[in-house]
Amino acid sequence: MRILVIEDEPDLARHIAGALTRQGHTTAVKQDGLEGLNAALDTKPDLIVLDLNLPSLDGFSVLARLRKQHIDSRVIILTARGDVESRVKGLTSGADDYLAKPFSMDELVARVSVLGRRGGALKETDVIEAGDVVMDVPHRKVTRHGEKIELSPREFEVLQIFMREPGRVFTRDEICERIWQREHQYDTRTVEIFIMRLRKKLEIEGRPPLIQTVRGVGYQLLKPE
Amino acid sequence: MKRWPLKIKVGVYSAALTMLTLVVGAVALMTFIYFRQIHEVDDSLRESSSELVRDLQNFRGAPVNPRHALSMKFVPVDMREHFLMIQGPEGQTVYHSANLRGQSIEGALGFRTISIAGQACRAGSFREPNYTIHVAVSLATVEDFLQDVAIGLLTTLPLVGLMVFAGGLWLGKKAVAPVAALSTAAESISVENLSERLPMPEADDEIARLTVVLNDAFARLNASYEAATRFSADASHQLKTPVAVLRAGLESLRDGGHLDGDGKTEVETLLRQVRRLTGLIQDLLLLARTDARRLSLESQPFDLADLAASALDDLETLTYGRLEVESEIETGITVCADRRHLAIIVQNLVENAAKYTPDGGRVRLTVKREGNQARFSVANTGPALPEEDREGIFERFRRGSKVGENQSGHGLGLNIALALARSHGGDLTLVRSDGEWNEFALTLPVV
Repeated sequence: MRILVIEDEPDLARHIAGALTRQGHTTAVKQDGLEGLNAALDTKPDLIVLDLNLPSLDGFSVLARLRKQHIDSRVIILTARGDVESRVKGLTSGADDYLAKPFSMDELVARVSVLGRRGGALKETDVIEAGDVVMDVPHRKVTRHGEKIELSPREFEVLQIFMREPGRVFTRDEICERIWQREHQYDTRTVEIFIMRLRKKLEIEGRPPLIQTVRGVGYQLLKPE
Repeated sequence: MKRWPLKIKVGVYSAALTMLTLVVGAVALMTFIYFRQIHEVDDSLRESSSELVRDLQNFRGAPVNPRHALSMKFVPVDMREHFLMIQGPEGQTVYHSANLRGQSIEGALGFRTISIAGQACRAGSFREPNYTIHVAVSLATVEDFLQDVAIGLLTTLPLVGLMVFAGGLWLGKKAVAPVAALSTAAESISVENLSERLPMPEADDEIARLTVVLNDAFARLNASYEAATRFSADASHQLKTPVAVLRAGLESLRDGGHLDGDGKTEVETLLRQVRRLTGLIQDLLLLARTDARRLSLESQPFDLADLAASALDDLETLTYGRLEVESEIETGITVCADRRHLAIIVQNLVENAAKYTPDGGRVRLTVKREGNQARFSVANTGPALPEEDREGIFERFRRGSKVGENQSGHGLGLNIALALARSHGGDLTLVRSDGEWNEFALTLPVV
């Protein structure tokens, strides 16, 4: 994908561009709202990573003008303003996704690839399938091979993280962060216990475990063939 | 007396002052009356003696022989009650009234107060042609009069005191009324409505001045409060970008593939610290918002039992093999709240219980309904919190006196939990700490 990063903090912009380039995307960086807008109008990128707090023209205005010019590039907003209002404002003014600073680069990369793949935002689908495991999110039910598996609330949440992005490697810290949101005493050991319990419940004799350990990094859900 | 209300003080002071004034006035008045009366007695004594001598000089047309003893018939009728001694030209006593019973009232010329038969009397001695007259009269009437005045004053004194006290009370109440009204108005101004001001009284008096002073103080308080709130919001904001850079940099270092095992471990440690810093910034921002009453809630109705199930799950995992976890969860209690915020409150309670329960102890999670309130409580066995810690346990950056420096956490947890509970119209309290159980209860209004 051709990605335009509009972010005034040069170091952050460099890292974002670096991480996205490593994923095989073509990236360009602008550090000013107006310049960013012009670049977007000229190059019509597939996706724009847009900071809200920008010199000369703020992120919301950039977004509004882009939409007015019918530039329909996907937009992910980055902001230090983590409150509900700016999230709602960002999403209603035409952004496809929203990420609060400081964010995990893996998260950004994952969201970018989801937006590129689906041509839309990460949707909260009700029923997720990964191989023979089916997860009914609203009813909080999980089956494997049609057989019902009883999961505790946290086990369910951990499995949901894996099932939404099969094949992606999650670090223990990232899982922690996803489940409890804030920094906690819940250390990575807690996650290990949940994953251990989850594996036991999902286990089928003679088959490799569904949740694989990636040595020195974390865990991933075995990608279904 | 220092603790008495102002109106009582005014009453007592004015009554005491009035009574004192009355007593001093009475003493002065009685002294004055006494000397006036004595003066009058003296005048009458002098007059009586001149009259007596005039009579003796011209008794039935001829003067009486001054050297002959006199009998009572020579004494005018209106002097017969007086004590009287008359001496002739050579000093011989020519008359000695019977009521003196032989006592001499001889004395130097002029007036004096003497005692005759145990009674205070005023005596005067006058030299007339041929005679020296010593005459005395009882002061009983004067004394009686003064005594009456004194009794009168003494009996009216308490009555006057009581009346003045009542008046003072009324006056004090009247004077204090605007101040009382002002303090009631000032009391109603709290953090919630710091920008409100006290109404200015119409009169340009001391109360008006006090109102101005109070309003100024409120304005300053409001300004510094807003500045503090804005500061923590701004600071948290400004901190987020550099932290984002740090995090991105460390993550790219970790994922870049140029690090050996040790380097990777080090970067992981740094990343963990960055996340901790992020948590702290988020907490500060959350507090700044609750302080400024600008916390936006995404409230929706949900069953507290769901939240409790997750909390129980966490609790069991956190304390696995170390503590015994019990629960009593009533289902179907619906509250309308921001789920993320309630999760923060509950996580704090769960974490604390897991952290501060001695090994082998018990933790109990209870969800129940009490009237219109939903009650979510987390109790754990353990020593009672020291008395001095209980009050301040919900304060910012406050941690128990017995909590070691090495314990994780930054001392904001319970403060945030309380602030969040209150912004949901609920409360968070320490309900029990008796050496057996320590119990915190979150109460929320039921939908």
